[in-house]
Amino acid sequence: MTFFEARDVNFHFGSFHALRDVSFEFGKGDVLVVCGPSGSGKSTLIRSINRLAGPLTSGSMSIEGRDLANMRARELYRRIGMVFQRFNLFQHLSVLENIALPQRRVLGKSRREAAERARGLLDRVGLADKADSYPARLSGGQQQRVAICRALAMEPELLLFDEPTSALDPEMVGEVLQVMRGLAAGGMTMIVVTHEMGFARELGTEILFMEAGQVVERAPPAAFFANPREARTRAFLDQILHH
Amino acid sequence: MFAAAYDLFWHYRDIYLRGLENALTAAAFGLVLSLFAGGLAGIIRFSSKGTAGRVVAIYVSVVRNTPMLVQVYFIYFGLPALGVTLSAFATGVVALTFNSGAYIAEIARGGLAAIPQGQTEAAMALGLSRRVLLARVLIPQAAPTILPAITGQFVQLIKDTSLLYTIAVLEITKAADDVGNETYQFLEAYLVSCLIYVVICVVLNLLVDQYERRAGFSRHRRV
Repeated sequence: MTFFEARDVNFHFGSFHALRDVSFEFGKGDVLVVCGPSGSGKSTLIRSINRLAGPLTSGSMSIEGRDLANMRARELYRRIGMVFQRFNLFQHLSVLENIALPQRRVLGKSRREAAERARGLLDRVGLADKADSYPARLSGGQQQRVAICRALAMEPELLLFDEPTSALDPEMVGEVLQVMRGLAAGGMTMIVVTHEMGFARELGTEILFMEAGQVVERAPPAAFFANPREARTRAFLDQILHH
Repeated sequence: MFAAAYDLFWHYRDIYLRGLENALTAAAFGLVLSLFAGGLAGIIRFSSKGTAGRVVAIYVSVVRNTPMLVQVYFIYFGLPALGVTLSAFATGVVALTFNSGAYIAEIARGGLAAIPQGQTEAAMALGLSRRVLLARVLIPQAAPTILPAITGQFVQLIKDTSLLYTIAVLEITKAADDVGNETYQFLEAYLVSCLIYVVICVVLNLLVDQYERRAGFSRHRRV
């Protein structure tokens, strides 16, 4: 059953046409992997889902049939979480406070409840001992795992990942992917913008290949990697898999 | 020369100390009020692209592009024509607040604008309201970085109290001038006032340095 649907989405940055007639849908528990060359509109696509990019020029996006454009910000951000390329942890707050603050201020949880949930999540990603550290003291991989906890603490129905491993040193990519693997196994619905083709192949329910603001190809990983239909997809895969 | 200045100071200590007291009182009021007004103006300028932000921009521009002496005269001699008559001392406090507030507004706006955009995006994506974003995310991160600039502004504010001399507030410069006029020892009389200014401003800087050195203060706030 369709959970999320984008229908003929167009988006402009000034006069630049960043998304062109983008349509796709996926179901609950799916992992949609979005890939494509830089500047293809991948980030814009997921940033337009939670309004960070700004309002759509035309078209619509909906969750369970409800148009996101008409949804109140409070509800939108409760249902959709986001993990950023550069983590964006609050630098002046400890790891625990980073995860607790939004729970308290948005979900209205008590200090104790919020801290408890934060500790539980940190434990799940192997960072229980870092609860009182400040982000600047953590490695990139650790910061990204904390950022995932912060998003999860809000109990989102859909989690957006904007190139979650692109800002990491290579040896830290694995630990973040491991956490995401756990989420996928737990049935979390995700849209993941990534260049990690191994992750896409292993966990993607479907792969969306974008170029120049358009969806060029959409296919399950097996078909996408084994016999891509479009020449542009083949060229991209050649580049990214054999560099 | 210094010995003579000291003798002069001791002889006229009453007038100097009264000047010092008035200057510090005016500065203290100006400091607190301008921190409040300037901080608020800076936040408005940072977060509003509409009318409120533009009003602040005009305010800042007026203050920065007119001499403070003119601002003092405007309030003291000009406003009575509009039915607002303030005492010399009140004029001093208002002028110091008006003037310093604009500079603090710019410092605050700059501090807020310097925080990476990612912090705001993360707060938005988590559903934090704009109020919580400002109060819990942006201001706590901006505050420590703008502290040195604010201190500089406070030192400026203390020195600016000397302009109140022109509307006959007995502050440090007026005290020195009175003493000079009475004794004709202008060099010594003004030397005393210089030293008073130096001592206040250096002490203020040292206090803030001390405060900053306990650098942890911004890092360990509770949520």
